[in-house]
Amino acid sequence: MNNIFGWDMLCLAVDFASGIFIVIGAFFALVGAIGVVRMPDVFTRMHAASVLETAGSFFLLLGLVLQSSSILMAVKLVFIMVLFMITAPVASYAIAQAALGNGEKPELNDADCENFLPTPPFHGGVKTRLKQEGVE
Amino acid sequence: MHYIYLLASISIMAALTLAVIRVVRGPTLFDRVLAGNAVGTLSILLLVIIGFLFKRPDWADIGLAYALLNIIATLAVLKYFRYGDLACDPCEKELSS
Repeated sequence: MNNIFGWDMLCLAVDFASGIFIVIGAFFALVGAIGVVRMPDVFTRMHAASVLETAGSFFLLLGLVLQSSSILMAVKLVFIMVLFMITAPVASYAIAQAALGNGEKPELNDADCENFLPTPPFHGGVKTRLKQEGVE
Repeated sequence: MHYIYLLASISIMAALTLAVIRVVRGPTLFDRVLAGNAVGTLSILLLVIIGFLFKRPDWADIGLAYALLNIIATLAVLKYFRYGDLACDPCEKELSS
């Protein structure tokens, strides 16, 4: 380590930072998957899957951006990161609204909390629509 | 860095196994859709990591295309099971009902 403020030290610091980011991202991905298996309900599982899709992919791709050898590869990885940041909340929102519209209820401790659930009219699902039309 | 890539890919494969368990066991359809979305995300991350591990990081292009397909597939499945029709206009149907 003869030039301690030079290029070698910079490369070492970038390697160290990207290694830490990749390990954090892998940790979040594993924790999110464990949550997807162990959580009791659709909506709480959605919370765990959101951790997986935003925090895990963000840290992992950030660590890979620091390792990439060309600007083009870094820009592609940033595109994937931004795409996950946009699409994961959209998918969670769509899943939550479809589940509520088809009559899924979250598990609650307290019966009074039922008053705070959203009630129709929101966009009803197939089951509520069939019930309204008297088919089912 | 090689060992860190290996560690990250092994943990992502473990996460993929857990998500596939939820896809198989999920009691409702929305659990399966949620876990399928997670499987898509994790497979993109695994693809990018393995590209860096084998020193061919150009596979990130495939990951970008697959990320676009993943969100479209999820939204299409959810729209089909919510409205019973892929071609309907939700606002118009809401007004008519």
